[in-house]
Amino acid sequence: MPSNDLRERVEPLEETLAPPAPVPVKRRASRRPGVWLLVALGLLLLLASTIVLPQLRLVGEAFTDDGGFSFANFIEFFTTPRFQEAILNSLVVAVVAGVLACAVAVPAAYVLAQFDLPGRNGFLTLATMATVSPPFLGAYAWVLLLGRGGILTTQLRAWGIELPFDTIIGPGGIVWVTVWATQALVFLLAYDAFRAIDPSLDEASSSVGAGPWRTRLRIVLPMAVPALVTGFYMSSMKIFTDFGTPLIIGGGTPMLPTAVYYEFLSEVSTNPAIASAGSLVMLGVACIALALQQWALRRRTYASVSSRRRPLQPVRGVKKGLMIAYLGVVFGLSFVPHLVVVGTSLLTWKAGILKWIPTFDNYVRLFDENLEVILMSLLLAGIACVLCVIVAVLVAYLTVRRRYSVISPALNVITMVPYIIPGTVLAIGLILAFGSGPLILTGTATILVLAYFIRRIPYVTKSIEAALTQVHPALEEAAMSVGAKPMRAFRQITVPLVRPAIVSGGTVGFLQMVTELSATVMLYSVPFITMTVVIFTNAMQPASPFGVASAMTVVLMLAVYIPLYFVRRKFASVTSV
Amino acid sequence: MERGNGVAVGVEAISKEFPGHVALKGVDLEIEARSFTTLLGPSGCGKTTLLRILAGFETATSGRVTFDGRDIARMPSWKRNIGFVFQNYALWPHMSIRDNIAYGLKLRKLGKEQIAERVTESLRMVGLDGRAEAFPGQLSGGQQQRVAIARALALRPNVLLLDEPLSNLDAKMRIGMRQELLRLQREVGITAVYVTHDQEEALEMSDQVAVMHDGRIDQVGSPQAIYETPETAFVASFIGHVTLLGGVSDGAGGFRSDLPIAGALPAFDGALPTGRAQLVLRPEDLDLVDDVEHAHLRGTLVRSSYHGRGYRSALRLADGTLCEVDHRRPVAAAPGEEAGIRVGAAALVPESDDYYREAAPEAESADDLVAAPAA
Repeated sequence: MPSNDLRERVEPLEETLAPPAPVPVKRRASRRPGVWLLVALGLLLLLASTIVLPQLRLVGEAFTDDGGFSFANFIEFFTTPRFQEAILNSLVVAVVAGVLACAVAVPAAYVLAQFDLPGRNGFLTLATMATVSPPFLGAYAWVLLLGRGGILTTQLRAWGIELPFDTIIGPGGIVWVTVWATQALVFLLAYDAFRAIDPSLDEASSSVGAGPWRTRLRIVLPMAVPALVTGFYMSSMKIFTDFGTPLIIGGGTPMLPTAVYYEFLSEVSTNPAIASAGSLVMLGVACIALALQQWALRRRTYASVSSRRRPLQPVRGVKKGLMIAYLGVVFGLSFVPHLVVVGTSLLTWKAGILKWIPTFDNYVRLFDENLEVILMSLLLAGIACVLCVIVAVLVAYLTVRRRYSVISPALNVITMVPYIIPGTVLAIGLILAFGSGPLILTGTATILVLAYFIRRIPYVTKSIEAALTQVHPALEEAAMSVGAKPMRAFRQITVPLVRPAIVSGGTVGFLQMVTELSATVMLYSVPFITMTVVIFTNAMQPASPFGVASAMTVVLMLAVYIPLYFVRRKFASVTSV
Repeated sequence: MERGNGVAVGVEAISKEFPGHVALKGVDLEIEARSFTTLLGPSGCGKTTLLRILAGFETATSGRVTFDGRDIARMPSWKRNIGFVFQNYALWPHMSIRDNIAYGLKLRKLGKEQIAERVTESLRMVGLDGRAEAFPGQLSGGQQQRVAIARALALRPNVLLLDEPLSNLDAKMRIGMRQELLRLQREVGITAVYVTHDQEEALEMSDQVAVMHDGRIDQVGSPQAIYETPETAFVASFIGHVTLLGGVSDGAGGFRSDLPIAGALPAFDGALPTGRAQLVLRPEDLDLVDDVEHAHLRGTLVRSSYHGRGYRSALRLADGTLCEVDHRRPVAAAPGEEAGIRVGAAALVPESDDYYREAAPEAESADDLVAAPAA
């Protein structure tokens, strides 16, 4: 019997004839109800009551007037000039700043992805750092620099140079600050997309006679469109939901998050129902934006067939100089705020006026007066982070491995809901749900932990889910075949295998939690005060101790960048996206 | 190591339904203690599902699974005392080879010394002594599979379940491992159930082969019985390369072929069908002759090629069937000319359209063409 014939006959069949049905068979775990089903039900209860319930309370509040169902709140919201202006401002600023961020970041990403330039890793590190820097940092620093009595404004005036504007405060300031704060997000996405394009596509294009610019516009740019769409979506939504920046640098420009905040919390004439209606409008915009992004991405994901690395083109002379200069300007402007706070934290302030005298007084005062705040911030974010990781691991496992028919998809959807909930909206929902009734959490540290947990759960879950799909189910079955119960197999086999994702996902989650402002500012109460709140309140008051606020910002930056450094050193690619 | 703790395995009327798909349709199988049984069939036939039900990774929709007569259908896999060897080895990459093997022993609360002893013993058995401190990623595919087998055997399980364990190895290694696996199984005296789609593997290694097809077992028997006296057209066509010729069988050894056969055929073995039947002709049981007058069948030579041990030729018979013949001597006939076939041995199976097709995707597209005008 000629053996080769036989094998040739059978093997291709495995590939060509394999019916689709047996594939899920292999991945599905045993259907025996057990401890996992209980875990799933417990998680569903927890997530439904902390994520879904507050949003339902918000919807209820928004549609209730005089104790009955009504659209009155929405009618009032849309007919009040102050809110009309806020909607318009928020949309225009988000779109304009999003477009500008793309315009700034995409060429930068392209030259770094295409050409052999020095300092590549440096720029990539800066970009990653920029994506996790505190959201209000830019506004705070640029006001210090270019506000009416700003450091640079005063200095330039002293030298007889007149700026074209009186102060950076205003809608233009919001755009300026958010462009530099969000460009890094677009930059990283675009860089990865440009690097992933199969080099033979360019070669094919030039082989049929296309010049380099034609190839760039007709081949490379279209291939990167999905990443650009996502980048634009993420940066503009970040700008749209940003709370700290418009309040610090907006100079009273009404924007949606701030308008809703004042409507809900200001000392005069609060109206929770109108604020709820406004929240739902924000949520609606977020949903539409997500739908638009998904629509734009449809049929636009190109699978790259080649694993050949894209070669970096050599470049010399003036061209090289211009490219580096451009990258330098983009990242220089993005990191002006960081330099400003470091600098001002080491200088003397008197009644809100900067004196050019170096000092460590700010740090001494900071640790004397505000050590508790620093520790509180780290503690709250730390607890929320641990919770988040635990729940994320369980949810990811339940959705990837144990596909319970209704519970698993439900868990998956609920964990993704916070992805589109702006911080302000989340906070209002939590106050409505837990400010009265059987479980009162307002005024406690728990509500802050809860808010941090909810805001980051989608991201942490997704990163662990991605890692989990790489772990073959047979590894866990092997453990059960040698006698391990399901929980033990999960703990001793699966969890250690996704540890890199747990560590990096958890760290990035921690960074975002420790810098969270928009929900914190609505939910905090004495003595549970965070660094972000202190810096924010300082930034809002003239003649406040800016030196101490800057010193605290430096501490906050360290709390972010030190963990980031260690995680990045251990796991090559970590981004907040 | 203790000898012969293998148990007898019984499968009774096992069915397994997945949403929108029935994987097993009432399967019965008796497996003797300490025997080597192979579940053989094409992909999608249900063989892996049956193995996973034996392991407890899947629960059967209905039916019983017994180990030495004890019903274990509801027993979870971690209590069954089985060893499972996976197609992709499934070694835990974050543990050393020692820890991989010791993991199950620790769960059984064995003493430290006893664990160390068993790890060493198992590694020696598979010829990997001295590699205990390596990690799975540092071993070759063949070595990893040996570790996987050692991990399963270290627990002295009652049943060893193997899911296409050799299919990820290169051809040469695969053939060497067959004998090694068999030696280990005999040495330990364990009951082995082995899933494969490679009929050569099944024939070489097994005491008993169960040929599976579309969620059912078509035939159970010794390799010889499966090969020489297939009971269905599917079994005949899946094991080896065959030509099937339709006709009528009288159930007592007589067969009237639709295509005239000159002279008497050799006697058939085993249970014979009555009524419509198919004659199973294997290339190695046929011979090609130039003397067309004294041949059983005649056909037009389509191609002939030399394979080292002999020639394989294909002939187009009068009804259009392509018949393959192995022969030692070259033939005088050139392609396009007539040649004769002598039948040395043959089998009879009940007639069925349900045989193993190589060209199934093409057949599907042909169906599409037929169906298109109607839609």
